[in-house]
This record gives sequence, structure tokens and C-alpha cells, in this order.
Amino acid sequence: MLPEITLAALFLLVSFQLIVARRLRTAVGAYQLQSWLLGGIAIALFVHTHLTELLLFGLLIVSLKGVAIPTLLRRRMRVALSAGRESSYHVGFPTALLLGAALSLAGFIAASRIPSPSHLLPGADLGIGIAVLLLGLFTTTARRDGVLQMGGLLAAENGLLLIGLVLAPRLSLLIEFALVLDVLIAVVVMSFLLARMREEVFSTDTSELTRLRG
Amino acid sequence: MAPDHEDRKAFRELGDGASLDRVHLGCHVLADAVGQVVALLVVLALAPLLKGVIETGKARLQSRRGPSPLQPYRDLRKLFGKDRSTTPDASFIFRVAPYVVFATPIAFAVLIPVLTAAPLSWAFMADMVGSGFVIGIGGFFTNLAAMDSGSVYGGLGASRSRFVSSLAEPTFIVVFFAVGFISGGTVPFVVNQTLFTSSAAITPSHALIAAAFLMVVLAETGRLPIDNPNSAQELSMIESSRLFEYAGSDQALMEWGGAMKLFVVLVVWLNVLVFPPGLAGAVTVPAFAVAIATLVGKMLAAAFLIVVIESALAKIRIMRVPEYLGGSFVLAFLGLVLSTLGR
Repeated sequence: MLPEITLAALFLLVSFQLIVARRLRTAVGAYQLQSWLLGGIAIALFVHTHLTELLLFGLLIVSLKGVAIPTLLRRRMRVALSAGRESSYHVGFPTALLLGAALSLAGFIAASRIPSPSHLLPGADLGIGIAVLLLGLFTTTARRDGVLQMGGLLAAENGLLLIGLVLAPRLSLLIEFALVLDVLIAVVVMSFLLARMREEVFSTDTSELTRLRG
Repeated sequence: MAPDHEDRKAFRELGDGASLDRVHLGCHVLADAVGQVVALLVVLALAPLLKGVIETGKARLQSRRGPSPLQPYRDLRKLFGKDRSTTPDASFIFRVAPYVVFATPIAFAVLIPVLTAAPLSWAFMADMVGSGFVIGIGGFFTNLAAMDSGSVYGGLGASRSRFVSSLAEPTFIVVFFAVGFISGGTVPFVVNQTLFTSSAAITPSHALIAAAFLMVVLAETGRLPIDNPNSAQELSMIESSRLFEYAGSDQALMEWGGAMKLFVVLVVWLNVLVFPPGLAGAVTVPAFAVAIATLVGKMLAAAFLIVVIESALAKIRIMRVPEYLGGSFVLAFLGLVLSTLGR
């Protein structure tokens, strides 16, 4: 069997780990693993196609999203947040899991309607990309905690990159570089925002923000 | 669901050529019966050993000496030597339940590939869903008997075990759908042949389904993330609190039946979903010797896996059980989805 589809299946599983994570530490670990898997998919594609862009892209993902961003997040967490604290959903965890399953099904159905122009990756990978995108967006909307909402956004971004890999594997490296660096900037900005929020309301729980303060 | 004639025909063709003369057929039937009986004896004899090996392994991993792997046999002998006692409130269900619990794993073992890769004569009595019902009867009667005994803990255990089983059921059904989808049949022997021969390597959907099935097997047989089999605290028990009112030979039958249930369900996991090689192709003495030896090897590996899982994980809170089983459902569901895409 192709290693890409196996890696992609793991990629999807790790995204579910991100959905059920109760602790920030677990969520960051899941994001890191997800980024490594995405880089692995790009590198496995390089082995098949010998496109140098793919190798560079894979290495870029691994170094930035697999090493730099998780390290940044961990350091931020150590300074500002209690990483061991449990966080919850606006819905229950089992409901979140089932909604996640429904969303991934929706992703697969959506992918089956899109004709895949490249035949480098099997169609299942496109479905997995869309599913992860939806799962990430779902996490962003349904989580209470700001840090985990950011985690959802980052996961959605990873799904988007997988979709990009399927639809346009020969994208110019410059664009990819800009994309990935943007995420790094976004993480920095968002972590400053979260630190600021914690100073103001003593928590990163966004449901606290609905209270009026005089 | 009635077993298919198509499946049966397929296997006549898969088998060692159609030898249609009567004498040969007669030999075939006899050999089938012998093979069936040997498989049942293997289940009866090895099930307590599996339980013993798991206990010893867990003790060793915790740096204890632990009981000998043969301890369950000694327990059974001791229990069979004792008198039965029944609560005065109990009805006939309480007295019948041990026999049902003892008999259902044996009936189940007829339907699954314990030792042979090709189906024996009784294998087409039920498919995977049907055999799920068969194994479910045992749990149903245990629950009835636990409530019948009038003990508080029995009722508590029965209610909790229904809670767990009702959440495990969707996963079982999705797993059956998925393997049925991949292999085009739901008789365990067909499934095992197709999964075994169609692709040499492990596909993601196959791995997901196997993982989901193991998760529900652990939940259904009262193993650790859900229920601690070694617990001595009545309030936290699920499985063992249902057996509280039994004594003597009744208790022996209940415990033996429970051990066999774990054994046969693990046989399904091993021989149908994970690693079918080693099964006997025909009913001959050397083939069966090899099959029994590989089954013991596979069971040791499974026991080791269970020991590691049970030592690594703590029991989860009862209200988090839906998350665990919901997770297994999602795994099975993704396996199903990926299997439809992968073709």
C-alpha cells in the first residue's frame, strides 16, 4: 500500500486527538505530530516524483510547524498558562467526537465531487485534507479555551496545506514559504493576544469575554 | 441474517477440489465433526490458561511474583468441589444462567475460525451479526440473574454493564459493516479469507477496524480502561459484581464461561481481523498441531498486549465511558469510510 495514504490516515487520526484533547499539552503534542505527518506526506511524494520543491516544502513544514511553532507554544504556555489545566467544549466530548465524524464524512463527500487534477495522490487524501480543515474549524468554534481555539486554526491550516498538496503539488516554493511563515507570525500575534487576555480576565476561557466589565 | 448459499458454494470451490463420491463425502463429514470437537476442546481447555497468563504477566510487570498461570484451573477445581447455594428470592433464571453463560461461548466457537481456515460443517449457522447475538445471550442472562438475586450490587453491575454494552453495540455493527464491505460477506470464515488473501500489507482501514474492535472487546469483556477485573471494591465493579451471589459449581461455570468469552472474542480479533496465518487448511493431525501451536503463540502475544494495556492505563471514570466508546466508534467509522474510498 502507498505510504502516503497511511500517513494521511494517521494525519486524520491525530486531528481527532486534537478534538478530544483535554489538556493544552496534549493538544500541542497532537499538533506537532500532525505537522510531522504532513511533512512526511510531502517527502513521500518527493520520493515518488523527484520534485525538489516537495522535498523543500516537506522540510520547511517539519522545521517550522513541527519544531518552531510547538516550541514557541510550549514556552508561551510555561510562562503564561497552566498547561495541565483541563479545558472543555460548548458541547460535550462525545457529541464533539460524533460531530467530528459527521464533519469528516462531509469532507469526504465534498472531496468526491472535486475532480483531482494531479494523479500523484489518491483521491482519499483530498477528502482527508477537507475533513481536517473542517475538524480544525469546528475545534475553533466549539472550544471554550482560546489556546485550543488557536490549535484548531493551526490544524485547519495543516488540512489546507494537504489540500494544496493534492490539488497543486507544483506550487512555487516562494508562495509556500510565504504561507508557512504567515502561520508563524499569526501564532506570535495570537499568543500575545492570549497573554493579554489572561492578564485582563485571568483566564483564556473565551466565554469569560461575554461578561461586561465596568 | 440468513447465511448465504453463495458463501457455501464459494467455499466448495475454494476447498481441495470437489470430490463428489459418497465415501469421500462421508469421510469429509466425519473429519469435519472431529475438527469441530477438537476446536471446542481447545477453547474449553485453554480459556482459563489465558486468564492465568494475563494475571501472572500483570504481577510480573508490577515486580510481584503473582499466582502461577495454572491458578484458574485450581480455582475451578476448588469451586466444583463446593456446594451450590441459591438465594431464596431467586427464580429459575438464577439457576439456569450459569449453564447459558457456559454454553454460549461454546456455541460461538463453532461459528468462528478457531483452528481451521475453511469453514467446518456448522459454521454457516450464523454470520458475524448472528454470532454477536449468540455471545450476547450470555451477557443478557448474567444481567437477568444478577437482578434476580435481589442483591444491590448485582443490580448496579447489571445496569452498568448494559450501559457499556449499549454504547459498544454501534461500534460492533459498524465494524461488521466495514468488514462486510471489504470482503463482500459477513460469515467470519469468508471475511478472514478475503482480508487475508486480497492484500498482503495492512491498509489503514483494516488497521482502524482492528483497533476499534479491540477497544470494544476490552470494554465488553470487563477489561481495564472500563472495568478493573482485579478490583475488590464493590462500588466500582461492573463485571464481577454480577457474580456475587453465585457459589460452588455455579460460580465455576460462570467464571469458566467468562474466561471462554474473552478467549473466543480474542480469537475473532486475531484470526479474522489481525493475523489469520497458521490456521489449518484441512483436518489432519499435523495441520491441527500447527494450528494449535500458532493459536497459543497468538494468544500469548494478545495476552502480552492486554497486560501492557492494563498496566499502563488507569480505569476511566464511568461517565467518561461514552468518550472511550465514542472514540472506538469514530475509529470504526473512519475505517469504513476509508475502505470505501480506497477501492
